[in-house]
Amino acid sequence: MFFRTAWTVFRKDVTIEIRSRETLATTIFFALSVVVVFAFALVRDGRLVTDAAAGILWIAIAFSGTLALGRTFERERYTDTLRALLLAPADRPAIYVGKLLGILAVIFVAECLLVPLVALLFDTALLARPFHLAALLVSGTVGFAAVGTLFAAMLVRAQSRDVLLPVLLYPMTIPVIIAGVRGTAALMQPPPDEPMAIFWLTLLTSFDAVFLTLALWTFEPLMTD
Amino acid sequence: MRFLKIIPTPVVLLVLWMGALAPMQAAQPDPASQPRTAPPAAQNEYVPLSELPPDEQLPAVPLVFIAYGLIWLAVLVYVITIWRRQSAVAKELEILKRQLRS
Amino acid sequence: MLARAFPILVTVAIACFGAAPFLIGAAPYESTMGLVQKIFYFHAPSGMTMFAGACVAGCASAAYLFTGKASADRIAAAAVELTVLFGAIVLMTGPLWGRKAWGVWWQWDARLTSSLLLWMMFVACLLVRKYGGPGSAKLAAAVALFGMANVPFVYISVNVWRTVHPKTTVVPSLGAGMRGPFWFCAATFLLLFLVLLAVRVRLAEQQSELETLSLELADRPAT
Repeated sequence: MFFRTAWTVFRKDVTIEIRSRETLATTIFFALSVVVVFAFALVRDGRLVTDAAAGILWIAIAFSGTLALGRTFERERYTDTLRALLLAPADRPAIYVGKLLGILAVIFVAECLLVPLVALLFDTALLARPFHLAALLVSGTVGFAAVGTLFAAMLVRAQSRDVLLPVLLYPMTIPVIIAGVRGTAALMQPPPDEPMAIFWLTLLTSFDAVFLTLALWTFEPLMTD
Repeated sequence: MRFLKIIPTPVVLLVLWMGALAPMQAAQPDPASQPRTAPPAAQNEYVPLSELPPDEQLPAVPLVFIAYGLIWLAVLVYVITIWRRQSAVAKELEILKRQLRS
Repeated sequence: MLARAFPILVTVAIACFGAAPFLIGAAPYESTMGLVQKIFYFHAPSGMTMFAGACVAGCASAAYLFTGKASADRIAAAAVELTVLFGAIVLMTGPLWGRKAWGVWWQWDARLTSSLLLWMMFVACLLVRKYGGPGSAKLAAAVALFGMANVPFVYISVNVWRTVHPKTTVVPSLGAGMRGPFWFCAATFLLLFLVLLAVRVRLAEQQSELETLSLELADRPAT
């Protein structure tokens, strides 16, 4: 029942996304813009700073992820569907998981385009260990999105929600970003530093476990008036 | 997520916390975090000294005074803000109570 | 009970603060850092108080989220403010010490970074309370709870990564001359924290009394 509810909510979001493509298009384009802006901003001796590729990748994910979160819940607020969701006889945490899966889908699609782009623009061996990189990206994005979905949902009815979401989200998820950047940078070394990457991956998985459980625990009391 | 209701969630969270901290404890130090400007390595304990070498004295004094001054200032400013908010609220309470009585 | 003990606590706290500089002055100098190490006697207790405040805020926030008790919300609000205050003290005095001891104002090592992040998270909590509009108490409670979840990571980070910040083994290994002043200052800061918490909670109680009375006045039929 729980997973069916989550899957239904997820399918609803994906269906809307496929039909309107609004969040997907804006998120992807924003991520690309962020990469390009940082590529121009971080220039040394007239050339790109290739070591910054890992950081730029994760900054682009964080910024575009925040945008996607804001857009998804703004849509729910505008059409007043969040109230309908909460009134439904469904497990509140299931609704949270459904929304989380929707956000993850958008960010993963953006990442599939971002990673080759960053590897190309910065001429780095980003894809040397694709499975490790994929694991880092998945666990990092899950951690980021877990916290983000909770905060975005709880801010839906608050004032100044547009500015409060980044204000709350970035300090909370910087540990995830740090672990992601360090892990990705370890994979970009001339011989990829796999033990280091696996250490950061373990850390990310631990963050994910803690944040997901905390979010599942607090979603219900937060959404109840 | 029925397990969240059977096992108290704080217990689950505690277990996850400790599980999260275990890899950090067992980890290798990260060589990339070495600062490039080579400051002194982390100390394990403080070694007391009874007399100060002469070249150590002057430059540190302003720093120590500023540090303690800032602490006093911060606490004082906070206490003053509470005091002001408290008097404002007390005044309004008085007015309201008078209005309610009448 | 607390109301009667309160003036005594305030007096003791002020007395301790007055006595602290004398005790600190009498403590021996540290061999490698000299005079500037004396900042340690207020810097480290402030750090401990910041962590204590974060824990109190987290627990009170959890209590408020799951029981809805207004008193828990008031304690959480007070503890968040105090965490920001003592965090600001730590972040201001640390660089002053570090400038002399390490030669740099700031290092992006684990301990400093995580302390800054913790402080920022609680500042974000205050911002939510101030600008979140009605119902922001619950949101702030969630933020404080997540903030508290980061406290163990902050504490352990020094032991895990090699950093320039003195390790947590420093305090247990303090010599006799330094141990006394340090724990005295730690107790003083804790006492200060409790006193300020009580004062701030009292303010919050008065504010909620004000709200209740204004609602009562608004509900009264016009005479």
